[in-house]
Amino acid sequence: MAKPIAVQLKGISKFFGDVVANKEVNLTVYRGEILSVLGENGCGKTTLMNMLAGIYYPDAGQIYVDGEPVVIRSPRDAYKHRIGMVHQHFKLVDVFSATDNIILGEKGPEYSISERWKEYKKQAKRPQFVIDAEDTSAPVKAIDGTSTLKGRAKLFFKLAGVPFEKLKIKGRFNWLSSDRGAGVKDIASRYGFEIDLNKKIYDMSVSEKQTVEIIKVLYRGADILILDEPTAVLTPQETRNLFKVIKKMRADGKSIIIITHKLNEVMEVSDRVAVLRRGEHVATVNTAETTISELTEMMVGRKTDLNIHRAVPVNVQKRLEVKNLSLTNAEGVNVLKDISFEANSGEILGIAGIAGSGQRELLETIAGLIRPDTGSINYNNPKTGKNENLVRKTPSQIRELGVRLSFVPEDRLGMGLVGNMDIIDNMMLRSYKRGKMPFLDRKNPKKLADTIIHDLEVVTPSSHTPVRRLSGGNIQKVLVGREIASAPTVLMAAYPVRGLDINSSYTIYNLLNNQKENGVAVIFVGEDLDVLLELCDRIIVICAGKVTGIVDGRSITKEEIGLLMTDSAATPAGKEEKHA
Amino acid sequence: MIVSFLQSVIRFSTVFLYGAVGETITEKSGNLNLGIPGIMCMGGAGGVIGGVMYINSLPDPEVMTWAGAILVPVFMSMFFALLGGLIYSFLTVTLRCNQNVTGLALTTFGIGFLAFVGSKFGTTYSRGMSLISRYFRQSFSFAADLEAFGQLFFSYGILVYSAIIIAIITAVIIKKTRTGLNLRAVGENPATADAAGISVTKYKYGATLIGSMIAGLGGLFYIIDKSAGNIEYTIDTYGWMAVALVIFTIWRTNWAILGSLIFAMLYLLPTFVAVSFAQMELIKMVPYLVTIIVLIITSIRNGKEKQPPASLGTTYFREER
Repeated sequence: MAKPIAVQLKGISKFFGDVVANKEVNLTVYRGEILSVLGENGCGKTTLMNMLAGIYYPDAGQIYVDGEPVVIRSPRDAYKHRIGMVHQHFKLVDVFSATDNIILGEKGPEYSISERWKEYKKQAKRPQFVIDAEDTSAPVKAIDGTSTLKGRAKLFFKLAGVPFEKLKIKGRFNWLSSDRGAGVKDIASRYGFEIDLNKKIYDMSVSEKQTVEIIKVLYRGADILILDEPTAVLTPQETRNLFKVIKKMRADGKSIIIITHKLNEVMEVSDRVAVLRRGEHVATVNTAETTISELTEMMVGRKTDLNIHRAVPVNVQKRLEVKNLSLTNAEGVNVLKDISFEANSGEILGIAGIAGSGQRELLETIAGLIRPDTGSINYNNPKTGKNENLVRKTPSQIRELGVRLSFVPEDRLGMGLVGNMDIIDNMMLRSYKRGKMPFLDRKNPKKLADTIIHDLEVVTPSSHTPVRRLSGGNIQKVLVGREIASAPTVLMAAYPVRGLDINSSYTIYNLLNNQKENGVAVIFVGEDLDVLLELCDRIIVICAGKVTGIVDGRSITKEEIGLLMTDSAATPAGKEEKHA
Repeated sequence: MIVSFLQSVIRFSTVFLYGAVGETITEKSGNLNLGIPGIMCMGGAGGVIGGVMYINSLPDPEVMTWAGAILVPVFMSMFFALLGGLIYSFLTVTLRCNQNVTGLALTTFGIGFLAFVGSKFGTTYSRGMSLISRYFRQSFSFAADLEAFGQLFFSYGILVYSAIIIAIITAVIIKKTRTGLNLRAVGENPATADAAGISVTKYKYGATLIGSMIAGLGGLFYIIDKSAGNIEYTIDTYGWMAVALVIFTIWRTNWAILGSLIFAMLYLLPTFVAVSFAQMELIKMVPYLVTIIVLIITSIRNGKEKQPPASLGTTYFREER
């Protein structure tokens, strides 16, 4: 390849205690290219890139920038070598404006009073000093942006007879001048970012925050940009805009590294792909010369069947009917607005929406953990045929009816499992109430735990290992397995595959499909639209707590859902865009 | 009557102001320094030690110079407060100990240290200390000519005016300079500041040490100005009020000038209106009640900018997983 090499990693290793995060990774990044770093969750992609960005320090190996060996001990070092990283969890100060976030840590403009004075005299073209605040300050301001006050200070020195030209005072302005964002504005307009730089971060949407992060990295002079899972929080439309910007940056001669596990995006945007598996570098290939299935095989290590077998729903009965549900949270924000939908048995109902649009609150309301302001949740009990309103029931009553929430929040152990207890004890959390003896019954839970470990291929030393010691994917399998084992009639799963590798994800999808075929009403909250489209029979799209559409999972396109997710246009507008 | 009340309010408020300004600077860096009451005690004790050192160095203890009588106690007061701050920041920043536990331990230590210094020098040097106190309480000579106005604004010693100046300068630095911006970033989100190339450790140490030195002056002021050189052991009480004042003024040192006046007024009110002992103690509780009410109001209002620094009370470690 004719392009010059920007960064080279040679034999990089990193250990966290006994855990090997990276092992002898070799990687080359060229100038003016987009490189995807592909791998399953937990394969060390982010760790590897954090070592380039100065967050971690490698235990072995050497990094070369432009052919020179370098030591990157801190993010400051990384910027010195023109490397900048946009982290998955944005590093922004909420109460600062975009501009202040971007200029943070920057040194003030340099000044040298004697130099400045000479220049001022040249500009003023007046050897005689005139006492006029307007006149003295204006030209000075034009040079470097000093305030009127400084102009006056100079005047004072002059009148006091201090030989100003001979003063060798140098330093940097510590003052936050009002025009501090000028350089930021230049960069924003050069790459076509549309953003209000004076807006505070807490008022911004996720995609705006990402834009601020990217401008920040560019402003600090990075030529090598690392983006960690940049599309995870974006709608398809926002993703497309992001890719446009990335391509513009490539045309500008910058190197862009994208960390991702989404194969479609790899194929769409990158020039080359580096694949990591279990901390090791498998191969780097040109995107044009590879296929999705080849990449998957490299990622997983063996051939995998990545098809979800979606059966046509049979024996569809109305199981859960949500009517006009509204909810105001503790902060007084209206998180659910007049939500109505039905969940049917033998069907998977998907819920799509940008993270934080009210999905979590909706499921918690159905499970009885939160009481809604208004609205009703009617449950058709298949055993008795009776229609019961869940709003007035306690969580345990709802559980007894067979409505199960397998909630997988951001923090995996937050709800559902107790980290310090072993798998058996976690099984008992659901069954201990059934015991009649004063002592606990451990036999049945042990059987259940062993079944789950066997059926779902949970990797664990034994059923007595505390669950917090398991990896994220295995924790999730235990949680989902336990909820399914209780033979629910309604199964709610929120982000059940978050943080799971491809194989485990498909195990979970198949589990959900099995449940559906057994006549369970499954409600699935997902973030990957491709999966939602493949898995769900019907999809509710919610945006800021409102249902913006209930669509058929078989006929809708990703773009149409994306439009509904942002509620930027009604469905017809989306169709127009598709034609164009 | 009213003038003398306001006069003592303004003098008393200075104790709170030093403590609150010092604590605000520290908290802006994300360090919740509950050791401030102890550090104020150490500042007071340091001032006494400085005074004793100065008196011992004089050939004739009755003849003092302005510079020596002021500078030696001030320097020693700041030095001992600095030591307190150093203990705190070494434990919480370098060793990453729990901030609350460290702070409370430091407060206990500071109270004990002051009691030790007081019992050692309190009686033997009381004459010398009251002489030194005179230099600290020296006010503008023209104050007497201006009657009520002069008494109200120009009748105080050097430490009262410097407290107000320090509070204003601090507010300007925090709000208007790059140093202040960096400091706020460290307190809000140390990982962000770190990624921006700001040395989190340096800022945390710097803010804690400077904050401690300023708070230490509060202790010095209480002994040498407010109590006229008599060693008082109740400084930690006012230290806790200063911590409450930081919340009351929602982390703004310029507001602390007003806030400290309100606190001092509420605290002194019972001694000026003739009330029973029980009522007096009840009125003394009002500042704390006001702080609780302010906390409730700020949490209800939910203004993003009126909240404590987001990472207050947490320690930062870059490689944390």
